[in-house]
Amino acid sequence: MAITDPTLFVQAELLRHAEQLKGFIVALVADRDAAEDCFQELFLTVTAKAADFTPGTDFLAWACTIARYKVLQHLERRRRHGGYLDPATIEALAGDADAYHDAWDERRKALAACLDGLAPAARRLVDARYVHGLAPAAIAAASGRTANGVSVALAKARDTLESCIGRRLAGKGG
Amino acid sequence: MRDLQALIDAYADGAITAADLQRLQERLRADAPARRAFWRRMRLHAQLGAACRAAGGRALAFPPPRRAAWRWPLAAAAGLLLAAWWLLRPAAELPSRDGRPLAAGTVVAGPALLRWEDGTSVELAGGARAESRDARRGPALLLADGSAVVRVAHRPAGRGFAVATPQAEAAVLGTVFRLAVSAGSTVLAVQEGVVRLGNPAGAVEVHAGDAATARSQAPPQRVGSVVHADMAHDDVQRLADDLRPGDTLVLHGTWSRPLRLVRAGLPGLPITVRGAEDALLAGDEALAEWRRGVDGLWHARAPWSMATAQRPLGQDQLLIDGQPASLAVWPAGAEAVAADGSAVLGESGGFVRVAIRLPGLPDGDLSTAFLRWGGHFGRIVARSGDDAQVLVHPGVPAPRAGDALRVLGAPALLQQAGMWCRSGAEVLLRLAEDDHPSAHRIALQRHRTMLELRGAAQVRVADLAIRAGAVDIDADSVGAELDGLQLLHPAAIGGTAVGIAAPGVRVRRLVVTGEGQRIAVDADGVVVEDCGAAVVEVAPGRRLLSADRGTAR
Repeated sequence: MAITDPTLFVQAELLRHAEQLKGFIVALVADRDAAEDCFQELFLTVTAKAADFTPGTDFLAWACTIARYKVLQHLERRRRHGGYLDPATIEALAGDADAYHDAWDERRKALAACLDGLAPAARRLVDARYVHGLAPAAIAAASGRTANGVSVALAKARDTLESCIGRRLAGKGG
Repeated sequence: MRDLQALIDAYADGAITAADLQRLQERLRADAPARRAFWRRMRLHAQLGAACRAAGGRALAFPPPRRAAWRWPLAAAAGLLLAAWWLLRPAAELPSRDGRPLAAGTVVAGPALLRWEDGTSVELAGGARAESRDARRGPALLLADGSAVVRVAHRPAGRGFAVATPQAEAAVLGTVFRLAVSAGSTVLAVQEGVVRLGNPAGAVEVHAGDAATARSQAPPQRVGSVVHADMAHDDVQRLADDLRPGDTLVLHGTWSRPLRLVRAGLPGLPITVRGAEDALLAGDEALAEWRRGVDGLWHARAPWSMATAQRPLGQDQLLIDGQPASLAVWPAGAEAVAADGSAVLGESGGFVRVAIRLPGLPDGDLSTAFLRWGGHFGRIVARSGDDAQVLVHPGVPAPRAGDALRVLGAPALLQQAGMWCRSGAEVLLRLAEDDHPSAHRIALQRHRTMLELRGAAQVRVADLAIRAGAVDIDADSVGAELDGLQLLHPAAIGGTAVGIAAPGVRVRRLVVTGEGQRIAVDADGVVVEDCGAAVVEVAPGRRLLSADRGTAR
């Protein structure tokens, strides 16, 4: 479909990178409800500032800068709840965010293949955490394990997936 | 490194302690490799969420809560889908349904009523899912999704009934209460008796008619507060974003931005937003100081400081006595036909520059003009006589000879009385020779929708006046209520004063001014009462529950 004006253009770009941007916001707020609020605000701000974006420049970098300000604003309002990163940490993290965006698409593809190779028990755990959104404590309550045991098992599953992705990207199969 | 990874995982899983969060932050601030490790692990977390959902997930040994998926911006509502996680214990028996005992592991879908032998019952709401359990081996019931009302029979001393959530545990002895869990918090509403809601950070006793909320790492707090907001000074949107079930927000004064309600109440524990006598949501701003230019046009300063040229064409609307004025357009009647077009001149800032010939193009200032052909827009950036240069987004078919087209939004096009346009920070208007702006109320409408309910289930909005802006209720705002609203010239274009997409919405005592304004209903079970002259328009296949006044069609 033809994109006829800057507003629609940036909205389309935002949608195209939605997964990556949402993950970026979640990393900074670690609370999916708060992250969802921030993403909505990002959408509105990107729409309002559409004319500021110069086509041909790095959309993700532009959107991540706005997203970071949205997160800081949000955390300013929620500060009293505790449990969030403080602004100094977020500013420090911003300088190294290229490690997050690096090889995004290739790693995403490799991960899909690596998930299929995960042991069934680990896969159930990963699904409970990421599909059903359960915290380790909730998984523990439901499965009769300890929260610590669940956290350790989840960490192992993640490490396995990281190694598998690394092997695949290095061209050694997975 | 291993320790750092564990801290990062705990943070990402929402399971980090305050002390560990402090340690993690110190590492991240001091140490670049730690920051890069953080981002790499966060990339895995983000991609895992998407990849697992894309793969469809697997059934668990227990029924999983449907995690609120990322919803489209504006349609979202934090905490609306209550992914509840209930562990009921320690009833000694299995529950029964319709007199038949349920084996452990039976999955029950709401609406359903489960009973225990001692008279304790759990009423699952529609859409809720739970699994019965053998209490001797752990939880008596697992509510995986939705909400439920728990009625606990009076029990002998020492045999209490406890409901646990990831954030808190509710210990009861003979009472009726509702408990709902969203991703970050637990909300408890007590109908009868007393419930103690506690977690490691503290506890609160909640009596009948009251409610409380608990978050991880924070002491539980009572809710149901009444907040008064002076809209001239307070950030009303921020206050609205913080509302919890049972809260009331009372608005005073005038607010000139759209108000978006995204928090949901609970059945029996709604969120209320109420207007005081002077409360007004104003979607327009009056333009008072007009001066007549040498061009014969009336000029007024646009009333807001933002870079007006960056607002997409058609977002603002000039209202003269509540009626929309026409945006400057050429030609006024039938569309023009391009005599020659589509010569591509080159690229400019990511856009394509094309030449087009428009015989009869009015002389004068076209610097703010847009060209529209088919469904497409381009900006006119230069003209010489009948020749114009247009910037077109790459991928849009350039206008061709023979295309029907119009030019919009420039001073040179203001050739008829009642037409307007914007030029820089000014609004320009042409009136009839014997007319004067002071004879009218002239205002710019900046927002089509002034009150939006997005996932605002069980939210009640009452006694509020809204000028030059419509009300929109999305499909997730189930059971929302509008009572005693006054909509003054709500929608300049389109005529929809109230759009309703959620089932079970009630609209009462609505006063609407302006010609041909509609209440558009595209949901079932909507109640419209005492809404005067507003026309109720129901989408095909939908049924109103009740419309005792007004005109349904």
